[in-house]
Parts: sequence; structure tokens; C-alpha cells
Amino acid sequence: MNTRRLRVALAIAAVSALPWALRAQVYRSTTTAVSVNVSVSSGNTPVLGLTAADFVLTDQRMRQTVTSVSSGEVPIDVSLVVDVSGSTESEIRRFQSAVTAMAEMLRPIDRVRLLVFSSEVRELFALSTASALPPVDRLAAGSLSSIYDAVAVPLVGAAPVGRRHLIVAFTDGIENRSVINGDQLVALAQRSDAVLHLVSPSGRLPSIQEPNEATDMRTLATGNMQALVTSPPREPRLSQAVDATGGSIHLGSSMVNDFRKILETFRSGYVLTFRPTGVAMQGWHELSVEVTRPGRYRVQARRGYFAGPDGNRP
Amino acid sequence: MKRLRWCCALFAAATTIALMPVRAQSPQTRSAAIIQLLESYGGGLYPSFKVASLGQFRSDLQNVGKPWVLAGGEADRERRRQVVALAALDGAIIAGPNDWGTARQLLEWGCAYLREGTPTAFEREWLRLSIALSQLQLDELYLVDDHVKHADARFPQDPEFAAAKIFSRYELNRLTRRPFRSAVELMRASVSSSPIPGITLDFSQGAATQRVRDTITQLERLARESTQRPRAVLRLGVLEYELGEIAASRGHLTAALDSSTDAFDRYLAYLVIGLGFDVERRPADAAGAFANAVSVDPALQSGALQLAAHYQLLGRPDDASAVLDAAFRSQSTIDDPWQYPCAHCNGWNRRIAAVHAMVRR
Repeated sequence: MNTRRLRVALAIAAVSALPWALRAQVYRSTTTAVSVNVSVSSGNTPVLGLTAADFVLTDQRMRQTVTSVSSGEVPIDVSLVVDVSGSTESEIRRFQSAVTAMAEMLRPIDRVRLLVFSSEVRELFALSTASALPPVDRLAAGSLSSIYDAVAVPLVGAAPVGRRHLIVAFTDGIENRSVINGDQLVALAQRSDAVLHLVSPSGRLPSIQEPNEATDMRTLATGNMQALVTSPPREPRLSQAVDATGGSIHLGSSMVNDFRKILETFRSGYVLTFRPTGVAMQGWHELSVEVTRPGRYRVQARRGYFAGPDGNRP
Repeated sequence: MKRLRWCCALFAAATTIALMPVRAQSPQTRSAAIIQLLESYGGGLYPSFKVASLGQFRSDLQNVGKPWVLAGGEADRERRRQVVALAALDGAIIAGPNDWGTARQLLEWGCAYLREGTPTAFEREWLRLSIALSQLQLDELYLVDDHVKHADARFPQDPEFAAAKIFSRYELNRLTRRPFRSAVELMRASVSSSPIPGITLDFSQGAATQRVRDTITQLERLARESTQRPRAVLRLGVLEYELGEIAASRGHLTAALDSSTDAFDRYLAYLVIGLGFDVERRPADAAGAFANAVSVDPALQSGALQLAAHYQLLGRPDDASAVLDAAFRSQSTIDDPWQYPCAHCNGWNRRIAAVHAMVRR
């Protein structure tokens, strides 16, 4: 079965996989390979030169055999997602020069895609080699922020064969206009091979302002006419989506430096491949990755993946 | 408001010639800038302008506008009156979120100024647009108490303005990705967007339920007795979705599809049917509804994003990509109801262009 058919079969099952998974306790090995992006650092320094023997990978708490490890040589697709809503209006000029600087960090084999958003999402630059990226002079401040929608766009689609996908979203805005809801965003992240990082240029975490999702309403006065004030609560779903992919949230410094750090860590990371064995095929597969070498390491990897009835994964 | 400002900026970028900042310092230069602005409308230009203070702009427009109208002579008086009213409307459109009180005063003044002349097609369209703007601000108080009454008085046989008294209710002019599930939650959230930022009047459970029941009754009457039937049925379906009454909502939305050929209305109906299926955890049916919405206009992002997300979660990533690619590369023919959820918002960008065309020399 080719990769595309595998993905289709898997993802069809994945939609309603959770309830089924509870009763699909059929344990057998599969022939489907699973790839996991892993970043390993010691302090702030990426750890290089690790081999398959240095990793312990468990799938649903069952140790798996890592069949291959690849690292920096794999081409990368980078999706830059830039918030140009009113909340970041003052940042737009910085974005313009920063985007160009970020693109220059990529190699000829890498590709970049530029998405900007306010009320709606616009694709300013479709996925292509970074050298083709024109000067970014079309950024204009918008109004409301559709953060979920913007982050969802690069999470959608089939993973490109033989390439890794890095998504970096720059926002500190207030989610208040997306048509995609928080649950959908997390579900998309859980099924994505991409690694999602979020950078907040101001150091403020994004918040949410959706009346039927925000419950943080305080009564200021009582009587026949009560005055209520809503304050946007911190936005948890975006963090969950980031976490699900093995990415991180970066608060407030230089956009270019943050991106450089993210890119270097991603590039120096590893792609572990294994064939799930001895685990229930269908449903959510919780993953855990550790490094066996002596020392203290920070290991970042996706939290798991969904698989269909044949054990295939999206 | 912000949505409209954004869309106006897009429109301006497409059609305009020059940027005209109206943020001069002295009264003389401010007056000159206002006159320059008013003159530009006659040339068929729709300047994208910014104001340092909306209150100052209102004051300047009031001071400069009437003398400028009189200076044009009898033959051009009505057109110039319309230009001034249009500038007032544009000022209200670009108002910031905390300026709605001033924006409302601008509209009230523009409305009163138009009433000094005889009713015209321009005035009717100006009223429809200002009603849409107020609906988008969820400013029922102003609409029902003043603006719609004026419109109804000026155009007494017009079913649209008669219906606007109902369509302007807070709870009929919002659309959310998750239903509120109760009248009191819906009312509290709707009025929280009222002109006083962050502060609202609270509704008790009983008062909210009574209020929403009354709205439903009035919509049902409108659906029976008015030429506004398709829109009334559509709004019933949207309101029921917001209340979490999904089956009833789907019934009305399907009826709206049966009775309307309007692309905006049909797109909105499909979109809300899809959102309703999601509430019922029927992703395949939701995808079908979103696919219908996308078939109405593939460029609108609300339907495209929902359809793409559903395809992705249904294991069809290539189809999901294709939907988003089409959305990014197509030109929309209608406004997205997700961005323009209010009852009178249908065709906002087209109509705002048309009303500007009316005042060309």
C-alpha cells in the first residue's frame, strides 16, 4: 500500500477512533512505519551524534525498536504564520524585515510558506524555495485575530514525503474570530507530522475572547441591572496544540533570534522511525522518547499519533 | 466595526487613488482637509482616510459640511448633501472599538441631515448600510429606538425597514462556532458587545427566555406575513443554532434553502447546518454541509477552513489541501457571513461601492 493510501485509510478511522479504540484491543505487529521528530538538548545546546541505540521509544508504554535515525540532512518545509491583527500593529515593520532574515537562514533544499492573518488568513507566499521569497512589503494591519484558523492552515494536508515540516507562528494576540474551534485545532495538531512552535514577540501569551468559550465573567454590581465585565482568559488550546506536536512556546525576545534557535534545534533534531509492535492498532498512541546516554537531556517529541484499523497512521 | 474597517481598507486599496489623512492641527487646515475629502467623492474617489479623533472629525464635518453644500448651488445641493452624509457614514465605519458612541452620533447627524431633503434612493441605501453597521455593533438600543424608526417613517411602505425592527435584535446578529445553548447565555454574550465597552446589562434566566421567545414569535410572524420570509426563516435557524436547538435549526435552515436563491443566504444556511452537525458529533454530515457551502463560494474561508479541517480529520488530507488552495486562489463573489453575520450585512462591500457611485458628479 502506498503512503497516500495508508494515510487515507488511517485518517478515516482516526475520526472516530477514540471510542473504538477502547474495544479494539487486538494486539499484533504491523508493517506500517511511524516517524517521530525528536529534539534533544542539554541546557541550551542541541545534542548531536545520537544513534538509534541512544533512544528508548515507547508506544502505549510498549518499548519499540527504532529502525532508523536521520537528522540534519532531511529537507525542511517551514511555514511562517504571522499575526498582523491590530494587537500586533506596532510589530508589523519588524515582521517585514524579520521574515526576510528568517528565509535567508534556510538552505536551497528547504522551502518556506508565508501566511499572515487578522480576521482572515492570507497566503502571501506559497510553499517554495526561500530564495524565491520576494521582499515582504504587503503586510498591513488588520483587525480581529483568527489565530486558530491561521495555525490550522499549515496543519492541514498530507505530510510531504521525505521532508520535515516546521511551523512557526508569531502572535501574542487575542483569539476572537476563528471559525475553527479549540478542539478542532488540537485534533489537527495531534494528527500532524509537523512541529509547531509559537513565538510571542511581546512576551504575552495569546488569550481568547469568545463569549461562549470564555467563562471568566465577573459581576461588578447587583440589582435589576447587573454590570458584567469580561476579561480574556489565557488561551489553553493553542498551548495544547503546540505541545501535541512536540513544539514549544517562546516568549518575547527577538523574532529572528527565536526563529534561528527554533530552526537550529529542529535541524539538529532526529527523525526516529519504528514499526509499532505489540500495541492496539487503532486509536490514539501515546509516545514517549528518552535518551539513554548518561547526562540530563531535554527531549521534545510529539505526544502521540492516531492510527487506523490497520495500524496505519495519518 | 473592525471587520468593516478592514473590508473598507481592502475596498479602498482596490479603487482609490489617494490617501487623505484628516488629522490636521489647526481649524483652517482641518476644514481644508474635510473639503478636500468631500470634493474627492464627487470625482468618484473613495479615499481611505484616518482620523486622529472621531469626535473632532464629527465636529469639523458638521461645521464645514453644510456651508459646503450651500456653496454648490441649487443644482448640486442634493448630491452634496448626500456626500456629507456619506462622509459621516464612512467616519462611523472607520471608528475604533471604543468610538462607537461618537460613531453613533455621526450617524444620527447624517440621518437627520438627509431628512432635510426629500426621500431618495440614496437615503434608503444609506439607511440600510447604517443599520447594517449598527447591527454589526450589536447596537440594538440605538437602532430600535431611533434609527429604524426614522427609516420606517421616511419609507413607510418599505418591508425591509419594517422587518429591521425585528432583525436588529441583539440575539439575531451574531454567529459563533459553538452554540450558547441557553437564552440567558446568548443574551448576556450578545449585549456584552454593546456600545459601552466591556459592560453590559444582565439578563435573568426568565427575562432572557421571555425575550428570545418573543423574538422567535416575531420572526415566525414575519415569515408568515412579509416578503422578508426567506431571511426570517434563515434567522430563525441561526437563532435556534445559537440556542443549541440543532434539529429545529436544521429544519428552518433547510426551509431557507428551499425558499432563497440568494448566495449569501444559502452559504450562511449551509455553514450553520454544518456547525450544527458538529454539535451533534456527525463529522461526515458536517463535511457534506460545508462542502455545499464551499460550492456556493469556494473563496470564503469560513466554509473552506471547516471543510478542510473535516477532510483532514476524516483522513482525506489531499482533499483538505485542495479546498484550502482553492480558497486562497479564488476571488469571492459574496461577503463571508462569518465576518458579516448581521441580518442586513448581506452584500456589504457591493453596496458600499454602489452608494459611493451614487454621489459621483
